[in-house]
Amino acid sequence: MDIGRYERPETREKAYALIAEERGLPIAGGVWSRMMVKSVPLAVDLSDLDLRYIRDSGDKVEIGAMATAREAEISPLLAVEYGPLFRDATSHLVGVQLRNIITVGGGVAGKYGFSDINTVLLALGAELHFHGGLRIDMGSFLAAPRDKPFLLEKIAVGKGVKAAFQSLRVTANDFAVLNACAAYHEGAWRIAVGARPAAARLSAEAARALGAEGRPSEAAAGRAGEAASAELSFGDDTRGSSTYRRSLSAVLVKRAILEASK
Amino acid sequence: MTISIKVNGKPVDLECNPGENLADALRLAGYTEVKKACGTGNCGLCTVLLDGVPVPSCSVLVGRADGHEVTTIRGVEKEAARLAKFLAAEGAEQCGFCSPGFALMVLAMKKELPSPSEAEMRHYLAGNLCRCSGYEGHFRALARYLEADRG
Repeated sequence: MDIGRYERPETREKAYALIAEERGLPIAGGVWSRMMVKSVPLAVDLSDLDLRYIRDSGDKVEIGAMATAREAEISPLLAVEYGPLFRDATSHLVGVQLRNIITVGGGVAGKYGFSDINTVLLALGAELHFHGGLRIDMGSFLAAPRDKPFLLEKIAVGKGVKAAFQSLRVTANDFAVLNACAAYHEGAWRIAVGARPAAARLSAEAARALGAEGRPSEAAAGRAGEAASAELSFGDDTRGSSTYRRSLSAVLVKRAILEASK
Repeated sequence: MTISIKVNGKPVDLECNPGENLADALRLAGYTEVKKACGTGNCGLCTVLLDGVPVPSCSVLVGRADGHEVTTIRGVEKEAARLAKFLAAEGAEQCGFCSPGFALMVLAMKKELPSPSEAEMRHYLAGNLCRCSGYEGHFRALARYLEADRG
């Protein structure tokens, strides 16, 4: 990566000004940007902004944008609130070293299609908090065009959600061919499918098929899987064809629902 | 740009390009014990400890290390030499190119997981590739090394 100017601001105000007014490229983990972006006139390193935490805020868990994938993987708080969900969605990412620098916020901000954790955050109904006070739900953010500069500060996730993550990979530490997360909260399901290979999306039809039943039968979970498969779009890449992904989607969604309803 | 870091406990000022990664900057400054291969954070060869935490130095922009402490294999030479004896006893090393990153990860694992199961060891070290495919020897040696630690 060729960087013209490198800044590591110590305040969010300064960081936001560099991003918004000088069109600086925010660097969170920096792993993907380093590989994909050749030339950056101004890089804005976000590592000194006190955004690296996973904390309890009462009825929600707040994940700072600079919390690492490894921190999400081994967080006792996330494990208490969501069981193995975050571990399942992060522990396949290459190796511990890389997970020590990949950030949760970087993956969210990049809206990466391959992201596992974005699928989980979408199913959990996470709310994104941006500098300046703007709050957007994960689904709206992922679907919105990339038109305005922003500084993501934290991701807030509600408690009391039962959820499970499923994925299939060609090799253990590769990106997923497809991933899925099913979450149940207060009488409603949210079913998210990611690595399609495009970014994660919710399946309203799968949620409708399940209704308010928190412990659906295997047949009902299967119908929801089929509904997600029929509703969502899938693409081709080196990891799998759209046809394969559509078939996988039905299976992974069904498994995620059954696991979440245990 | 100039960055000020501590490498193995000693303060060092590095003149570098802001787009450079930490692995290249260290190697250009003479710390050639930091090996580099994939350049994408996948192989674990370039692992160093940044403030005690293992990271793939090829994937860390050098500016991020400014003001922080870096430990290379030379900074843990005594403990690495002890591990090397167990690796040698199991015939686990062939070319040795992956050894610096592997040894640093083992030492990081010992801090994080005092008594790891075999599955935990394999999971923790999954980011360290060995081009000679010496994995089974590594894990035999590691089991004996940790066993000796426990007395």
